[in-house]
Amino acid sequence: MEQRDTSRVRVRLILTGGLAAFARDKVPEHELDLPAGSRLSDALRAVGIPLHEVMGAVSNGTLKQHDHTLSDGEEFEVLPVIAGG
Amino acid sequence: MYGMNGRLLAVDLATAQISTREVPETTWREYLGGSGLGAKLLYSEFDWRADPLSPQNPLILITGLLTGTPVLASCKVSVCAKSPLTGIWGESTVGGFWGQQLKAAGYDGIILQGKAPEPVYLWVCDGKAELRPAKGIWGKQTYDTAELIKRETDEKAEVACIGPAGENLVEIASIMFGGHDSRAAGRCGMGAVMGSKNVKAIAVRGHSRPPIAKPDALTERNRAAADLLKEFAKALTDFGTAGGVPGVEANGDLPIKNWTLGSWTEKAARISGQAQAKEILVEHYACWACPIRCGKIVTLKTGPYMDTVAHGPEYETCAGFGSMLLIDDMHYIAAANDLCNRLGLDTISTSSVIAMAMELAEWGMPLQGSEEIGLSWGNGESVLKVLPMIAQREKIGEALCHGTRKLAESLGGVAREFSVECKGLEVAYHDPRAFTSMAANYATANRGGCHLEGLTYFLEGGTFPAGLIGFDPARIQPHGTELKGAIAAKMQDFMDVFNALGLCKFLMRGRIGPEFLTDWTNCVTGWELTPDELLKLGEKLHNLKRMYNVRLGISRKDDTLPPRLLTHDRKTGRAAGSLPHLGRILADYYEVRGWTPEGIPTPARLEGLGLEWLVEDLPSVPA
Repeated sequence: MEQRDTSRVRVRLILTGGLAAFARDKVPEHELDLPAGSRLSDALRAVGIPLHEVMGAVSNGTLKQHDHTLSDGEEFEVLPVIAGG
Repeated sequence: MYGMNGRLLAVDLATAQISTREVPETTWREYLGGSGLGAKLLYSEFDWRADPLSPQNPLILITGLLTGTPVLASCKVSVCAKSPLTGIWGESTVGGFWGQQLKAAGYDGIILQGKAPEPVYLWVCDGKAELRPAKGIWGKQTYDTAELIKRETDEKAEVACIGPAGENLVEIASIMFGGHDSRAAGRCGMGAVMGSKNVKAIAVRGHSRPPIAKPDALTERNRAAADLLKEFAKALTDFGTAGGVPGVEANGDLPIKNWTLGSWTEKAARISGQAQAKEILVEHYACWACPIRCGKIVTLKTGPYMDTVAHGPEYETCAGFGSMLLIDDMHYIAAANDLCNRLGLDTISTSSVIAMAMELAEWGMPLQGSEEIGLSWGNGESVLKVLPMIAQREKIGEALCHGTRKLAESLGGVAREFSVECKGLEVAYHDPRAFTSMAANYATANRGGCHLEGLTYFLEGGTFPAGLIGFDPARIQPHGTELKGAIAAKMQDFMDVFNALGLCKFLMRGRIGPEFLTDWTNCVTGWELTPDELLKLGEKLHNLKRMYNVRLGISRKDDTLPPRLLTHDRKTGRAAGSLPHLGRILADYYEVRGWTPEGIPTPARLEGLGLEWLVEDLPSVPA
């Protein structure tokens, strides 16, 4: 049985609504391995997304804020802030 | 008196008499200016029962308290009148340079009364004003009008004018500002009011600057605001409001196929500001004193003005002529936008009534003439054909030119299902099923289905931090009912302040809140307002406009949403399954406002806001 490293969390980000354009690699999907206790804001910074461009991220049907603490295996649909006129 | 001139120009069009009217500083302190002072004038001095297109309905163009000063984005002018589209309070706000030039010419506003016997235009320059004949210009499109008038007056004059739509009393006609630069006072049919007075244009030119009470402090505040805008509003600079299309779609906030569908991801990207930047962008455009430069100049690649440059389509226009009509070709959207600007048509109401016509056709009830031009989902050519017909009220255009409510009333039956408006004003293109505080806003906004009266999706959508206006960010959710009434009421008050000060609401993209607006007001005027006092003035102005409508019979029965937005559950997209629980939300809203459950301000509330002079106009409410 694979030993799980509890000092790390693995999460997946799916960038929607043009947010991928802000990512360093311009890619919409990202698998991240971060220290346990990391927040959603840490994950966003890791891929280069300015926090002020992100409204929040949906995980398990619930909208999470930037300060949400990441759980291992979580998947997020990252939503941009609303612009438009 | 700092910041303003303290005088308005009053023009009696029937007699061609022009006079100057002093407005004391005490009045500015009570109503601030812009649509706040416009509401005071319209309420107190004119016949509220007047037919909106009769000489008895005035047209008031008025700058904000801070318009034309060095305050960032202080570019706005409010155009106020009883609306011919809705029959209630009407206002339309516009940027550009016209307001700054009017103030520099020595006036804070213009009141047009009566009706000229022949077409005229008004020329205002450095403290002088005259009416000039406009017979030779009548019938011309707005760009040509502006150019001809500049040749006759001053090449650097700023021109506000109507196109054929306004001349023909089309109830969704706009007033266009800046000629080719095309800033629009689009909503509520203000172009028709101007046309009903036989006024083709108002040209202004001035060289004075209103004095500032604390210029050094103002410079410091401007620097701080500019830093914030540079940090947070870069995307607006790069891609304009149309850059918001993909994000709006991702949040389920984009209206698609007359508000029936929930997602359109790839096609939204095709019509976005980002796509426009790659294919058709020529340069950026800024209004007076604005570092954002959200305006875009683009090249047209289809339509009757192909290969010319034009003002680029904004977000609302991309949604209206794009996703609403299932047109995913940006070139048709840009061409439709340009035609509307030339003809003087509001792009929101116009696209909405075209969407209704397309849906009627889909349901086997095509309007007469609809099939002749092939008006159907996704057909951009048919849209370019129908726009001049609306402006000229020809063929199918006569059915469409009164907006969706009157079209539905004339057809009866199921047609009401396809008419998406509040109080007669076509709902702007942010969905109250995606951000349910917008349900409270649309239902209660004083001019009808207006997004800018609340802009609550900025708060719920993460653009504007909730804490800046007193809400706990942790309690903000896009859907549901909690706090929705309170958010709508507070944001409406804040928006009334923006409109009265003459500031662009996109300052909020830089996280500029009530404290900044208060500082700016105090720096310019030398007053010592607090942010709470400023917001209370906003509440006062919102109640004043509500009372204008209450006197016309508006109450809770009118504070509702069209059926499509109340009960149509879209099955896809981020807002799938979300519907606004309007009863709960409105009950909370009225309580926060201190109104009766019927939506009527109470005497105590009016007195608390310094509006005791309105109490006698209240219906008799049982104790």
